[in-house]
Amino acid sequence: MDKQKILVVDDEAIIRQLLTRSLLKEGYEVETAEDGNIALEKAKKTSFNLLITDLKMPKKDGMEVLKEVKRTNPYVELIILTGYPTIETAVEAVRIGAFDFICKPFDVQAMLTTIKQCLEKQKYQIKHIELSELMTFAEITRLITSVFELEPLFNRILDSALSITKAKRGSLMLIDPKTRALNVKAARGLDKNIIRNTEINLNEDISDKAVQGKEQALTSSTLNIPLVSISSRSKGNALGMLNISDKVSEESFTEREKTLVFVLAGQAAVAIENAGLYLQLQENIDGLRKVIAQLNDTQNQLIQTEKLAAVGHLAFGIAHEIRNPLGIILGGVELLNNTLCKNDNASDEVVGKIKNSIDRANNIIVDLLKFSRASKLELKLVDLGKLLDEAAALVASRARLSNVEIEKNFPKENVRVNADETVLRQVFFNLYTNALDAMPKEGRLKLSISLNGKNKENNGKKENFVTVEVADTGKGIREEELSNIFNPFFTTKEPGKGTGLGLSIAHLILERHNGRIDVKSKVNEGTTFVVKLPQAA
Amino acid sequence: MIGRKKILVIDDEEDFCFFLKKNLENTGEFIVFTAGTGEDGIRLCRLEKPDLILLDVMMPKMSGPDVAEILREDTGINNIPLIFLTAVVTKEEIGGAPIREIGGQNYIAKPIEIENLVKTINKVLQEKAAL
Repeated sequence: MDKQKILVVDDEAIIRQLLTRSLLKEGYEVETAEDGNIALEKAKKTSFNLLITDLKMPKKDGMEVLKEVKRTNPYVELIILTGYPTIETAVEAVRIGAFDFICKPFDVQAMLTTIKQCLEKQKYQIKHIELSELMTFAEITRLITSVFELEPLFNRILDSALSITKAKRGSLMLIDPKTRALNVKAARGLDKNIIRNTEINLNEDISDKAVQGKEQALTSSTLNIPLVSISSRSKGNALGMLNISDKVSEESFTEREKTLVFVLAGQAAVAIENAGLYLQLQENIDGLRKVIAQLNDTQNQLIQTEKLAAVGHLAFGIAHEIRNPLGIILGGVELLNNTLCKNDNASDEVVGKIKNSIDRANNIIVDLLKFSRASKLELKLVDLGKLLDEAAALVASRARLSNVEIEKNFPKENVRVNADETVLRQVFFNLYTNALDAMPKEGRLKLSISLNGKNKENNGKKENFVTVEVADTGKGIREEELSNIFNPFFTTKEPGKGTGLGLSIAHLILERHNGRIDVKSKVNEGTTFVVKLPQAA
Repeated sequence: MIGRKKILVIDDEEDFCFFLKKNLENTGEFIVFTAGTGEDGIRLCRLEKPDLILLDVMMPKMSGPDVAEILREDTGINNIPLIFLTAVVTKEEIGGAPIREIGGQNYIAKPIEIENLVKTINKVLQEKAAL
């Protein structure tokens, strides 16, 4: 360990000599000064542990010397040696934190003991301060390296630098890689206008200076510390600057603070680069996720299209193979009824039942054929309100018969969607028919179009959705049935009344229009189908 | 027999043709000839010069539209009205009505109720007469 350094300031040569001799013997490094100015000169060159000074001296008195030395060396200890002790000087000595106040003449041995105690105390005090500083520092670096979002990171770096140096004012500036300008990224204690308008343009040599700043950036009242990249790609390039000024205590920055803030700047540069890389990675991951989502989407659509095409193909075959025999059965039954049975009542009833069954089988084929239609849509701009009206016209007479009032709530402007008109009209016709089935005696069928549908991201593009609601005041659907409602061949209607394909077809058709259909229902209150379609630009 | 319209049915379903012939003739309004293939149909058409042809769309070898094409090119018989019979046109596609015009042609979907068929035939014949 280095020898502890003591500066003895006294205008009496004999005292200087006496103390020097005794202190050297004890193993201390000693320097002396006969007046305040010389003392200050020496204190500038050497960082002393202890100052032993007289108070009354020519030129500069002890108190002044002390104050000035303390400014650059806050840990310096102080023993006052005076031949004129007064209450005032004693109070002043205590105020500036002197370790002891010794009156001349003094006992050398007692003096040495006091010095030993003083330096011992100082040693522990410095150790304690260093340790707590290091702990704070370790905590700060840990915090910095754990932040990946840029803005909080910048603020944390700056706050850390300010807290380490006990300064009030500061800013963190980064070089924009494109414009080569320094921009303020975080600031404390600075006017907002200054921050907004500060954009220092760098040409090559200024930015070089920022890097070279290492040697010259440290003035006593302001610290400008370059943030230097250590990444392999841009090693040694300046990333930006950390500027600190205005110490709270209005003292100068100590060597220790400068060192710590330099180390912090190194950590900060690493953290900033890491955060940048992390962000880039995150963006890449987000990009990949989007691509994967798109691929999934496309795959699903392809599968769906394939499925539909397959069903359509099958439906085509089935239609031919089943409707021909159905045609023959119907022809045969009609022939039997018209010729052999001569239209008697009993046979009429039998023929009616057979015809109903033929209808039932035929309806399944008709619905299946709609799947094949849904696989090849012919999209064009369609006025949604008009289409809803047309579908409503098809059920108008039936609605009148069962005392159902049709209520419309459409916006004034035309709402257009890209759709296959025939197929989409069929969807709404199905929904209306279901609603009327649920209200055999009376009720209200409410149709509404609204434009405030939620925006949905679709392949990166924002799309506005149109929402159509078809609501009835019918018997409602039980919860356990609600989840099955879009499954093929699921029906709550009596046998022969529904094929159970209508809603699954509607579901498919809307999916093929990049839309969707949802249902909400309350038993005995009614059912609402909510259809969402992308609004045409 | 006079006043009865001559109808030619061209369909590969033999039983279908049989019942259709019986049912149409039972109305007393029509005389019905049937053919099981496109070739037979065309031959019979040239021979009998029917007032109207009921033509199945999907048939092996020569399809309904193929037959229609040949008939159209034959000056002697190219003005005979045609009604296509099909098992794959949906009710939804024909807008709930039994008939829809597609490219100047009439379609009617199987299974066919005789009452509807008779109405359609008479409508087409009236339209022809009005020309």
